Amino acid sequence: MESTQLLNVLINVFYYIILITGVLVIGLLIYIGLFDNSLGFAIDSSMVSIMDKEYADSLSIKDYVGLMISILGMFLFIKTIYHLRTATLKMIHGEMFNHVVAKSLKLTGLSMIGYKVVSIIKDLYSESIYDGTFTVGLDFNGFESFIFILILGLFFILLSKVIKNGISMKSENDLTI
Amino acid sequence: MRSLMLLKLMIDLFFYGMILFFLIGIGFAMSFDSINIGGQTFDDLNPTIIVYMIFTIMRPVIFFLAIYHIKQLAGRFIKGEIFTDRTSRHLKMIGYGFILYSVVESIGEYLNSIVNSTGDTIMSGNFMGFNSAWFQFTLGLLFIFMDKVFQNANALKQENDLTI
Repeated sequence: MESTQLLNVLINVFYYIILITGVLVIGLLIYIGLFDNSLGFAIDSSMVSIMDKEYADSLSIKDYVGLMISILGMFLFIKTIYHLRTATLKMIHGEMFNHVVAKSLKLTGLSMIGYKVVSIIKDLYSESIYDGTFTVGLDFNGFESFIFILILGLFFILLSKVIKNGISMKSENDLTI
Repeated sequence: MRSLMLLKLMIDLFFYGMILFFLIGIGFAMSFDSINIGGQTFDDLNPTIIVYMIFTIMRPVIFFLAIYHIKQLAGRFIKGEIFTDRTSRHLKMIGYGFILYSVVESIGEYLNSIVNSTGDTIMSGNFMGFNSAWFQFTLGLLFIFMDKVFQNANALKQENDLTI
């Protein structure tokens, strides 16, 4: 029971932190990109930095593409946590075998895979555009690994099917009663 | 069924790939005259470096165990065992594995900052991405909770079978 309460607190805090951070960062990037001429961006292989215009090069189309990919990645991560939170909260409140839970778990898996695909595109794009290199390879380094996130995403999709199985079992049980 | 087979294939690939890379890494580290951890060379051993080495080795071992249980669980699903005691035990072990991994990784990062004087601190506020300790810890708790969901379903299934 204590672990359930801890999960409830953690998933909520985590969700709101990334939501606020995400909205602030995305908002700031769009604002600077469109309206503020005193600030600029510097995009390298790892992230987007906001800095004084005199230190940043003028933005070109390739910078805007990099920026759009970064924003899309951030959006997909927030979406992953949103669906994960929806499923978790439903289950915590006793609605374990529910269509909303099954749908949310499936969307969690899909968003997870989407996020990882976008982050790989971002890395490849930044490396080839800014560093002039292009690296492709298998990586087995924990949660950073593409294959592992793909496994986790597929696993969540599988869990959604298991929950659907549970829904039919529960309705059968309710009918018998 | 096709996605299940794809999942099993990917888990097997990842599982055996991890073993191979871990063994190659250990062999590579032992081939140096001085102590080498993750590409960093240390000339002498002191307690901090020993603890750092232990945490560096513990991280892939814990992750490997979590992957082992995911592999076992996918195998049970393929056999049609869904709501059983074994599947819920695997879920619980995956959850404990992820929680332990997030703790070990955070401590390892902290020790790394001491050993290499990078100035990073524990749980350094990295929330975005799957590499965040917060995400890994929450995911671990979710898997432990899923164990309870599966136990619940197991009871329902037994009740159903009894009625039939």
